[in-house]
Amino acid sequence: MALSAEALEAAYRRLERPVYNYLFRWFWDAGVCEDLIHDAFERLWKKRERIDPDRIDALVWTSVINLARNHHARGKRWRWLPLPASLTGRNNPETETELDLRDRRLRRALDQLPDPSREVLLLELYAGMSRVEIAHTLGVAEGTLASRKHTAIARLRGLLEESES
Amino acid sequence: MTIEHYFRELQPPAGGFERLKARLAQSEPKREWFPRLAVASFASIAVLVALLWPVLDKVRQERQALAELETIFMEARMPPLMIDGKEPVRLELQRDDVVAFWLEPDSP
Repeated sequence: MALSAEALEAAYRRLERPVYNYLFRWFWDAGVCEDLIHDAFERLWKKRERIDPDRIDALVWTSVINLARNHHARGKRWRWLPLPASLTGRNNPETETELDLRDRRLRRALDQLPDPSREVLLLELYAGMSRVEIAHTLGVAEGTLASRKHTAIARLRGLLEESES
Repeated sequence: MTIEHYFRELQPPAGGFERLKARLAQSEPKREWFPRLAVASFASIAVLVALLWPVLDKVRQERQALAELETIFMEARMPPLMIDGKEPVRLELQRDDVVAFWLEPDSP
């Protein structure tokens, strides 16, 4: 019944990449994403005696979603101003690659989505869970989930097309 | 350009699990001493309360007795208590359970 060190490692190796991709589209910072992943796994490890290894994936995702929500809410209150491009050396039109540009467009568009829609969209893309599992994890009805996803995709597509033109 | 085109698959920084292992190893000793510290603190507080309880209870009982006495005198339907033709200005329950009545001093 308890979570072993081997099961924890296997879960980490299996989930690190999708969770990282999910978190990166919220915070756009590799260090923050890794910290949150480690926070989630540490929480689970502390409760290892009571954890069913068969449910580890769902538990990791639940923990990650909650940590991301809290961190995002804190970020809204304490928003740091970005350094000017001249200091960071980034966003220079001469060195900017197409990928940077694409990421910046995506970031701008995602930032304009309502948080619940963004959450659903990113989970559908990265969590590798069924719609029923995602609905259960978020505590919403399947119909609500489908509607949020539909709205999110339509809005995101519109915002991206707008930024491309 | 489709939406999926924007969501390229990113690779997390290498060595993530090793850093997690180091972090868990650091937090483990804390995990061992924390419950002991909590139990010890709780026990110390309990002992302190047990030691102080008789004193605190005696003070509480005295206050309660005084309050009851005051209530009796305040609510009793009887003429004001007079001693040597004077009304006491203060009552005090002393340690030997004797009630002391304080009178205004005689005017010269």
